Amino acid sequence: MILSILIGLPVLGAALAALFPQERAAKTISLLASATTFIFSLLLYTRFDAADAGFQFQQLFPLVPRFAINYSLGVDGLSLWLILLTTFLTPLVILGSFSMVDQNVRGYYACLLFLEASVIGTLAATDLFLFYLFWELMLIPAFFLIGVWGGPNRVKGTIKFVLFTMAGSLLMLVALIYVTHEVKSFDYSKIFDYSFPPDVQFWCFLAFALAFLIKVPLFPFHAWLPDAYTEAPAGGTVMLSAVLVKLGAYGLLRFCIPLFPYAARAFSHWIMLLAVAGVVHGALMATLQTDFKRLTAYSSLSHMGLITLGIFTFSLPGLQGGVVQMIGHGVYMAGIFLLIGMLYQRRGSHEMDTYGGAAKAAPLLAAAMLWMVLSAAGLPGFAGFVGEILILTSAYKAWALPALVAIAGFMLSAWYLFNFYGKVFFGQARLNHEDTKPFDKAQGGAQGKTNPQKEGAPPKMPDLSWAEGLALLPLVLAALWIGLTPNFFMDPIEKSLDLKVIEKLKPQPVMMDFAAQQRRLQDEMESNRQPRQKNNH
Amino acid sequence: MIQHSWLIPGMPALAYAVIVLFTRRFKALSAGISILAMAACFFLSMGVFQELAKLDPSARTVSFSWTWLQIPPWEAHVGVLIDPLCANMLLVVTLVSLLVQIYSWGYMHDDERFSVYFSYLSLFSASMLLLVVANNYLQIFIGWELVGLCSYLLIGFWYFKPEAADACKKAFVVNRIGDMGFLMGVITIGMMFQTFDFAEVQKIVTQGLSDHTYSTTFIAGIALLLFCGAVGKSAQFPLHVWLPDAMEGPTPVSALIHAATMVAAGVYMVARTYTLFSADPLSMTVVAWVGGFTALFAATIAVAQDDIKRILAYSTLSQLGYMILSLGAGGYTAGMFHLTTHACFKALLFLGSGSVIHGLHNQDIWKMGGLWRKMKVTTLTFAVATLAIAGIPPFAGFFSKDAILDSVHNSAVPGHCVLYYMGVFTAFLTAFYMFRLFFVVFTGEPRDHHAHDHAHESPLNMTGPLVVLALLSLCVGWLNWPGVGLYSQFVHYGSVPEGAASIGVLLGQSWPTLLLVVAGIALSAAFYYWKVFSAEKMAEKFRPVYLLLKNKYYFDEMYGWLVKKVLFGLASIFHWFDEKIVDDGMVDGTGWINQKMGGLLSLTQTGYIQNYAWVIFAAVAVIFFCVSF
Amino acid sequence: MTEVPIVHYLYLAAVLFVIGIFGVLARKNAISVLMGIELMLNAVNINYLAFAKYWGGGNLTGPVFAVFVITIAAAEAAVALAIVISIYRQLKSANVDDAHNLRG
Repeated sequence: MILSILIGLPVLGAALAALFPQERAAKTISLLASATTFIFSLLLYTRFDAADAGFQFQQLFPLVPRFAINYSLGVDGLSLWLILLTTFLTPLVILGSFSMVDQNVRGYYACLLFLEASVIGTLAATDLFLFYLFWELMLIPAFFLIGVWGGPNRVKGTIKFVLFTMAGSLLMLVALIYVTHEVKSFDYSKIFDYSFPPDVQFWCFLAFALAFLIKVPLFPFHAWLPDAYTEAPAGGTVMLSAVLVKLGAYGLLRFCIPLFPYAARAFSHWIMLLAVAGVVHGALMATLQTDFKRLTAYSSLSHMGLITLGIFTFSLPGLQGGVVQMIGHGVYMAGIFLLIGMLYQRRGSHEMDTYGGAAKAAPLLAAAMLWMVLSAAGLPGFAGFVGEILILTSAYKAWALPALVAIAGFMLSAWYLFNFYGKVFFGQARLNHEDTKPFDKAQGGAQGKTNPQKEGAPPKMPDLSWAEGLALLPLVLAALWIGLTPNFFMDPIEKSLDLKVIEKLKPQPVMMDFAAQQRRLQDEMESNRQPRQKNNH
Repeated sequence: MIQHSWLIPGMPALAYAVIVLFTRRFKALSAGISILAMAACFFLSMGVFQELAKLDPSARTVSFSWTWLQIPPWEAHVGVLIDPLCANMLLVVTLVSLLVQIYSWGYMHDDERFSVYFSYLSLFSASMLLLVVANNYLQIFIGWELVGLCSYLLIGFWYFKPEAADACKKAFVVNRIGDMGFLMGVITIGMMFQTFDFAEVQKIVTQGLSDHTYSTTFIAGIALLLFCGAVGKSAQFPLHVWLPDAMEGPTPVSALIHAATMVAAGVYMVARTYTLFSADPLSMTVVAWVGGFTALFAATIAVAQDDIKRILAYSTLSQLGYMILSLGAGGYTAGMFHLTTHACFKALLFLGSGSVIHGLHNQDIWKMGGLWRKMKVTTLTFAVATLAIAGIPPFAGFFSKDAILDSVHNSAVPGHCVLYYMGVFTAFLTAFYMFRLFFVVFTGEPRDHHAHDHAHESPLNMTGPLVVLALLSLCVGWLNWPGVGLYSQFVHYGSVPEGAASIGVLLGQSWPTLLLVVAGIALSAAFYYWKVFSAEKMAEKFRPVYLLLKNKYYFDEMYGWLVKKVLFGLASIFHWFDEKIVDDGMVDGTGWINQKMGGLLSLTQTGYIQNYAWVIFAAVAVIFFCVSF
Repeated sequence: MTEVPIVHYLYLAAVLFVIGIFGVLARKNAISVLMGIELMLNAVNINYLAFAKYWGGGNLTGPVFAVFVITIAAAEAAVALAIVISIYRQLKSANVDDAHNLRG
């Protein structure tokens, strides 16, 4: 019941927000809807049974009985924190975006809420059809968010993003159809009980993994990331980086590894190599950037590479580290992108050269940004460190060389992050009115109100407003909380990770009678059909 | 008292939180809270030391910890390890921190971010103490990173100065480079030995070495990885470039962090993990040579510098080199002793220079002169410190420096004779440039009368710590008085080192060094006091050498070039890959392929009906034939 | 009287069909193409009727089909001529090669 509420409430909120013509109504309704969703999701945590590795809060409603497609929802350790992260971040994004969007406002908040609903749907689905439905559904609000309210190159960015993701998803669809055909059911429990022959696993793993690795993104498939992140509005980027990419990692954990363990083991070294390549690539590209939104996008790529590395070590510390890093990454990336949006709203530019000395004008903003930057740089006590140390140690155990290269990413992150922080916040204010390209509203997106600029005077840089501060405060606290008490996040999901992922990877009895398995399933299906046929006569 | 030793890092952390959250607007209250917390730490450290000293020498190790991170079977702890080494560092860190905080109260009096400054100082003390009491490698790494953070915040305290902004970033990044190796070492230890705890690792390593599970080279490799961190943190060559730039921060910060405590963390870490280092001569050799080279290298640069704080910065580099050299040569006690004495007189030197800067608002020594007339206390204490650092008995520096040179002389490191002569020559140079500094700034005629007229002695909260440190610089050396050797008996690794039997023996051993030191002072006096020789003429005559030294051997420029070429070059390759292969190739390429295929297929759409008819009939014919045959 | 073998009718139909195809594929004038289509349809009719007579055995399926074909041919001719007139009004030409706007 509660999961349907979590999906339905944002949709209701989106519909209501789109309904009323006044901007303020839309903002209030969406904030209320997302906040209520968050409060309901807290119930998920309080009533979660850590000792139960199976799906909890289950709900089932038959949709297409002939193909065993049901509206079935459930939460286990893998999805618990991601759902909570989504519901936690959405109200903050809505709150933070209050001053950033001034055109088609209702549509913006409706899209955000719709996005939240589809993400929760993807995470909570325990039926493969439903999962795929919500997975594809996510793309629609994201498409509009980037394409309507984005930056100057928003159309290119959004098309790239959607086409790329869809290409992977289509391959996944093919594999999905094959899998459900074999298992004769769309239900997770039946699918996870089934053993696939090794050659089938090989291809299915590739198809599924492609979709998820494009989402994560893994190194060669990351081309959509810089453009999509840079062109999206601040709120959109937060949702992209903090929520959507985690779904890629979630998919890997949920499907690729437990369903196709043989193939996962075979490919793990390749994927680890690509993950490390992504870490280094993201870090190096970030050092070259002068546009700090793009810099943070590459930084996000680098950190997601670390998460993938952790997942494919197939060890409990690595997986836990990956999950904690996911949560931490969500928190600090949300913080950084929100702050970048606030900076943009004040100055109208993402170029580091147009800033300088912002700490003097806006000390609270500078402090919040420093907090987030320190988390991203992996400083102990903040969110990033725990995940990094766990992932690096378990990666080192799995395969020493890539882990050592990944440490270089750790070092480079300090370089580009502090470079960015110093250029924007320290030193003297660098903005000379003649030097910058004026923010061309006609060319730019519908986002952002710029402060009216007097000729010859640098634009003002006011400190955080109440709404902005309120949006950032939970993130600041969360970053510290994750860093200081990581076990709070790791304990509830340990059982699920262990039984659902690691156990599956243990060597299975090799000679499985796949034919017998098929026969058994066929008989089951026929026996399920017969009562109905009897009733017809 | 030892059970409560966790309060030692805890109290400054609490002070930080209180100041940041509550007392930002109340300057005096913030300073008071911070100083009070530090004083409490100092007294607690004294108590810990007392209790430890009462214990039997063989049982002087107490450790307890709490679990912080737990993923069975993997565990990470936060804990406290109290042994003589730790107690020594606790006393040094808490005392110097306390004195610096009292001093800062006067120095930073007019700054508008006064409370923020004190909060950062408290945070630094908490992190440093966390590092010092650490009982496992992970905790020392955590403390390591946190002191790096505080260093960033404090060097960049006056962030509106572009030089300070650049300096703090440089410090953090260069430290991170060293931390890469450090992290690699820590992770290797965790993975290999399944534990991060110091005591357990020590047990496993000694066991493993004796029954040959681990080769000495492997252990030496781990030790060298850990040493990377020390090279970064203690600013040894080649990661020394951040320390001189760090002088952009307020002077008390330089005194505390970049003279007495944070930079000593590297030395402390090497001493802590000495079992790993002493396993193989390879690691000891590397350590000794890096230290010895840094000592000489930095001393030569210091001779040609004109900024009072830069001279002291290079002097710190040089002395740190001494400490590392000593540890590498086997002189565990000597190195730690020098750390202790150095903390006293270097902090005094920096605080004294701060007093001068406070009075004159200027850092160039060639704009100073004749200050002894205006700032008596500063001059006197500065003189004491200069004598101490030069190594004149009975001041502290003599005993510690001599112990180092002695251990180098008797060490087993290959080339130790060369190292010994390097060390002796460095002592000569140290005496020379330190007295150059003293003579130019404090004696003779004032070079800038305007500034000189406005100069005044600093207030009591600044001169007080100066006096205390001067007394310490005089007396601390006597802790290791030959024959009695209180210090050696307390802090030692393995067996208690044998010092000289009496002061006479000691003087008899060390007279060559003493002679050179006195010669150095005399030479310096000849140049700058009696002005027999002219420094300018010397600089002109040996102009290339002078420029080389003044520009720090152009290392900053070289690193800048290296970064540009290597880092950005590598990044450009990845950028090219991203743009050409991924973006143009894969992404645009897919679109291009689609377009071209579409173009090809559209060739069949000629628009002529009869062409279509041809196709239809041909297809029908083909199907007909296929079906019937 | 000896019956004409069915083969003759089939040959006739085949020849007519081929002439019709030639008309469709090789003539330039739109009306000629339509004439060729009519020829093809009538050839098919001959086929139906021949088989109905010789192999049908009284079954009326063949002639019924032929009637259908005639009807549809008439309807189709009407529509096709209307289209040709429409195109002629636009392009001022009855040449099929001139109506290639659907190219690409």
